[in-house]
Amino acid sequence: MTSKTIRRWRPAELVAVGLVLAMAGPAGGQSKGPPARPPRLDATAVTADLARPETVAAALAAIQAAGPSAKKLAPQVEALLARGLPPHLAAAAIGALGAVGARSSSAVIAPYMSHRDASVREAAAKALGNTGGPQAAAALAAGLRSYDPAVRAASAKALRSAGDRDDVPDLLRALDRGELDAAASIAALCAPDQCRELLDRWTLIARPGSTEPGPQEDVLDAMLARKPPLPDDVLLLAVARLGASGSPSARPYLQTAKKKRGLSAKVRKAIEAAARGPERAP
Amino acid sequence: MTRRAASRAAIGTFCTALLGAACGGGQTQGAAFDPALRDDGKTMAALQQRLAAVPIPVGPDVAVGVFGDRSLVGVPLAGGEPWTFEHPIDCRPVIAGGVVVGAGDNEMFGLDARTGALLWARKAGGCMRGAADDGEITAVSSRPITGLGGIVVAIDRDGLVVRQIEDDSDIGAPGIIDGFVFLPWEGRYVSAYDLSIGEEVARVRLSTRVTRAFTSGGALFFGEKAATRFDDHIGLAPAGKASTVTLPPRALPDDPKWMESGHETLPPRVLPSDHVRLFARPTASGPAAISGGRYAATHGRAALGLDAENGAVVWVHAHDAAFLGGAAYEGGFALCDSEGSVTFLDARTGVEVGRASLGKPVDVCAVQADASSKIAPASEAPRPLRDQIADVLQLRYLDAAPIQRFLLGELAASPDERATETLIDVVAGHVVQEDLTPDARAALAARTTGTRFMLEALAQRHDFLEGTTGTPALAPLADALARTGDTRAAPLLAEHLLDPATPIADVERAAAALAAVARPEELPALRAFFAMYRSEPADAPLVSAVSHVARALSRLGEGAIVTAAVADPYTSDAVKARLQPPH
Repeated sequence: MTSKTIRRWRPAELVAVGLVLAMAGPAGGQSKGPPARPPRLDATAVTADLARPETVAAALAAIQAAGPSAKKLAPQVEALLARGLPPHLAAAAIGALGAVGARSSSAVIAPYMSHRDASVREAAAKALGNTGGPQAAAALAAGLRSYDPAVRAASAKALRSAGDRDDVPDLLRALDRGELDAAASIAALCAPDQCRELLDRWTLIARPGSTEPGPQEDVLDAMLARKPPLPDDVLLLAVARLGASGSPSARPYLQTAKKKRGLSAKVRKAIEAAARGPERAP
Repeated sequence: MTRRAASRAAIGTFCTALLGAACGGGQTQGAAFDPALRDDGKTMAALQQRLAAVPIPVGPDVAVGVFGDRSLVGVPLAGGEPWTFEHPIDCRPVIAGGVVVGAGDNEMFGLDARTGALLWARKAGGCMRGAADDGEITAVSSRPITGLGGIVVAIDRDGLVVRQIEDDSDIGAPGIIDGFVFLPWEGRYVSAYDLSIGEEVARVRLSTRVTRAFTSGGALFFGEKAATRFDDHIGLAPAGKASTVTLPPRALPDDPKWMESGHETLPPRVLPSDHVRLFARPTASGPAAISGGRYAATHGRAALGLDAENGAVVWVHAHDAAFLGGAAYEGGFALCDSEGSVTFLDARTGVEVGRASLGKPVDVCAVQADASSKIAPASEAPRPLRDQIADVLQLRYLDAAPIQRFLLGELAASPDERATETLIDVVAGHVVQEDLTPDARAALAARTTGTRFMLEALAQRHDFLEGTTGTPALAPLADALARTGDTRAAPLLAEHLLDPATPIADVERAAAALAAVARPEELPALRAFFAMYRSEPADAPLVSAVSHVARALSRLGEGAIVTAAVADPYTSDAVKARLQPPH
């Protein structure tokens, strides 16, 4: 094999790469700046490593680090996972498939949402948010019903990218039962009427005393990011809710939000007004 | 002049002579029973013929209790205020017809059972084994203070001792008809003693143990484990052909007895055996049988109605206090409890048909209800037995476990398919006390009917959005359904198999059931489970579950997966050991 620019990554290096990727934040989140450039893989070597129990962990870590560029290796990892692995390797395989993001992986990852090992379950829920597709959406919707709070939270978050409007009713029910991570996903997926239902539940989301951005800012951020945009009346209602919340975290967020592109004049004006805070009497 | 009037005249003369010595009557000491008298029943049969027309009076219905060291309380069951009588009490009082006999502080006394009024008192040591009264004479059998032999005194309403009989043999609880006192002795014989002449006039040897004579419904009976009626068959008793009735053999918790040995004396404090008793009323005429075909058993706060033919449980009554004693009457049972209540239960249905009260909690209690007739209307349908049992299973009191365990067994064996539903509720609702939980689960697992209730329960899943949890009855349901082989359970079991909220022990049972009932439709779930856990190294139930799933896969034609797993390095040694057949 001629490996001109291909570099074989070793486990220690992979750990460092993993840390960099972790610091860059999850896909679909509020990442800042361009993602770190993924390393390229020696597919043949990694394939061989996948076949050996003593090297499979390193191979999976390499695939995870390579991300979508390792798409060709996804079927081999899927096959491994389908045959079964010990929990720590299953979690690694799921993480690798999640990083690759191939839709074909969703079917094999989905059953692991109900693994008895919590770390495997959570890894599966997170990975399905990246692999997407109907099987991912179905598994994540089922994850909202899990007894495991970590799975519910991960499913609620992952549905933001893997779900659609059909998932909103269950997300609203999850929110009603205290699953706050559902709020931003609802805001990202909701039809206008569903968005109003979400805003009607503002008391569930609001954190009046909070100094850190939280669900209330996430909700407005998700709504403002919608393409095509939500109707102005929905956005105005959301801005009004956040503006009226009086939380210390709202104003800095609104100051940033007013600079977002694609806002209608009405919405931008409302955000500016909310960012100024209540008018003082002369 | 009747026989009694004539004999009273003679006894009165005799007692007048002896009153100054505080004896008051004729004495037969040392060897009361004539060694020359035949015990083949002929003399007793002759006496029976002579007494056949003499009516045996029925005493008043009354309950009597003891509380503390010196308080006796009684209440007429037909209505009326409770009465109280204060006297040191060393022995458990005995109701004998219209008289309540008590003893304490070396004095024996007789009270009017209806009113508690003192009828007589005399110096006496030892405690009563039993007493009988024919309306004029009270015969009291006591254990001598030496503890050996027996002593019987016959006392009239004026407190005069008309006869005192002592013997080296144990003499049990007596009976009395028209001046003849019937004395069971040595556990085998009944002798009739003519009080007027102070002689044993008849004797019979019984084929069953006899330590008691008692009257019921106007007839005289002898017995302990059985009841032999004093009728025109009494002469056949040595041959075992008298009118004898026994209760059917039935294993009941803590082995309750119909009658305590008449050789024993009882203290005025509660004994464990007071809570665990049988009550039955032999028929006074016709073929020897148990009246109404029902007898009752008490155990703590539970009462059971049982079929006198086969011992089957017919009804169950959950009570609010511990039963202490009682009596059977025609059509029902009057049961006295530690709170001083007397509860009347219909023999056919177990329905409560009345209550009386002694007015205060008691330590011990005795009931005479020979004349009672409280029964439920024929139209009144009882609650289903399964519901009655569930009531008892919910009771919480010390020593409830034996009867509750017994009733769980009844539910397990019940032909009523809804008993399955009851058991599911018991298990899922954590109804029984913790130490009985395994019994409840075993009872449910033993069910073979009521599948629809099993499937309904099995459909219950953990669901955060619905706010539901999985059924705690999964394991026994899986076992029961595996036995029935109902494949409708398969998809439900597969869901539980894969649910991480399912306790691992239940997963193992679900897997075992799937090995029996899984269909091809369950293959995806079985494959997923096998893949996810074939590497499990140590968790024994999980390893076992994997082996069950492997059996299901093989049965459904996917043995290749199992074969491959045996050779795969990611399969744990523990799992491999279960997958490879032993050589």
